[in-house]
Amino acid sequence: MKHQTQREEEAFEEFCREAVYAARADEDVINAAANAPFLFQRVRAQLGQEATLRVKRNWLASLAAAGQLKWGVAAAAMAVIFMAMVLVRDARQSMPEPPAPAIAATEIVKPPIHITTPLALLPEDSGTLETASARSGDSRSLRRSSVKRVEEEVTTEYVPLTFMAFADDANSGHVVRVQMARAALLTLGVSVGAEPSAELVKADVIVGDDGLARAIRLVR
Amino acid sequence: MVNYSRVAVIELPEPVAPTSDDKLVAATMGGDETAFAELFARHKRMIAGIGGRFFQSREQIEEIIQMSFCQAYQSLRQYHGGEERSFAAWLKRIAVNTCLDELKRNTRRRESSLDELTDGNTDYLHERAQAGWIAGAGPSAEQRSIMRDLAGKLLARLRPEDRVALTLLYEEEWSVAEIGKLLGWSVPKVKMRTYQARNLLRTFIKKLR
Repeated sequence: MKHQTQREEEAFEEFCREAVYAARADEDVINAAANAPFLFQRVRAQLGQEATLRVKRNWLASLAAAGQLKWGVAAAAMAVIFMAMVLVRDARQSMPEPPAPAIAATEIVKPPIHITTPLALLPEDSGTLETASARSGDSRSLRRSSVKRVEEEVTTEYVPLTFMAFADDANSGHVVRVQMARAALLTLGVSVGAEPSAELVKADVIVGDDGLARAIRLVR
Repeated sequence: MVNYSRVAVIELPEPVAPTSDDKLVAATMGGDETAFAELFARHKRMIAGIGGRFFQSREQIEEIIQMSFCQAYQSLRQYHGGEERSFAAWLKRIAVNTCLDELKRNTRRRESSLDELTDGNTDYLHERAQAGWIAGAGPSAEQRSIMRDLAGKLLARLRPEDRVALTLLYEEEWSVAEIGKLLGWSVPKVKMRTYQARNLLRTFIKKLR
């Protein structure tokens, strides 16, 4: 009985082994995957994208740090202003009452009254709000003009072509406007989201001082 | 009679010794893209083979190659080389871990389930169980096809760690210690994973019978 169980156990292990072998891909599929066209270009493109993302993340981190610094300075300034206001109020309260002036004339001339209202207490239809709305109107018109400019030419972000030295050379070189086939773009590792064809697309290429292309972006 | 004075002496070029992986790694870290391309060309088949042990579609295997080399490039500073830890072994470790991550993602998506078992799958399981799990002398092409389909579905039900441990044990025929070294696991953990994998398979199959 014990031997039978052990034999069955061994046979089941053999079945598991068989299942593992059966679940593997065919050799043809493995070879086809290893020799897939543009595979290395895809690796390059992914590395380039990740390098760009890393640069962006660094920028965001530094901006966030700068933002925190800005808020810190603003909070400190607010605290100083508040302290100054408290001190001035206390000083005014502790000052002695000035002596009553002697009345020389019988006619009392009322001085002109100037009421100063804090901004926060202004009614909603005050000039301040009108100015703000006018300002927002200005910004809308500005936005409209920028949209107009964007509509003229839509570009993608630059995709680095040399993922190794891209970060160092990003600020040097020249931008050259070119027209190239979709198929040629794919060989550079740039995906254009369509079947590779001879159709020409516009692109901006950053060419380094050594004449090598550093990055490319598509233009529509 | 041959006039030997007219025979030209052709000087063959000295055979160039292939550059070692470690030298190529150093060149890659120095910014040489062609060195990285050479490393890619040398080892892509090996990575495809590892991917093929866990995934059946060509697209998924390509994805494994791509992700493994990207990961390797970004971790090149952590590679120290030497006799014991060759670049191929280091890369293999990265590829296996990439497969493990991808299996975990697939498990979350739950692409395959036992509910999808066909009648052919269950009939085949019954036959094998009745025969005490012993395979016939020469399975037919149809039986092989059914087994392949069934195996994919059964293994997809395993936990990714269990599946990786079982695959490395059976497919690569590595020792438990070698698997532990490759995955950074302790020997008892590898033993436990393979034991659990077999147990889970048995439970799944019992439920079906």
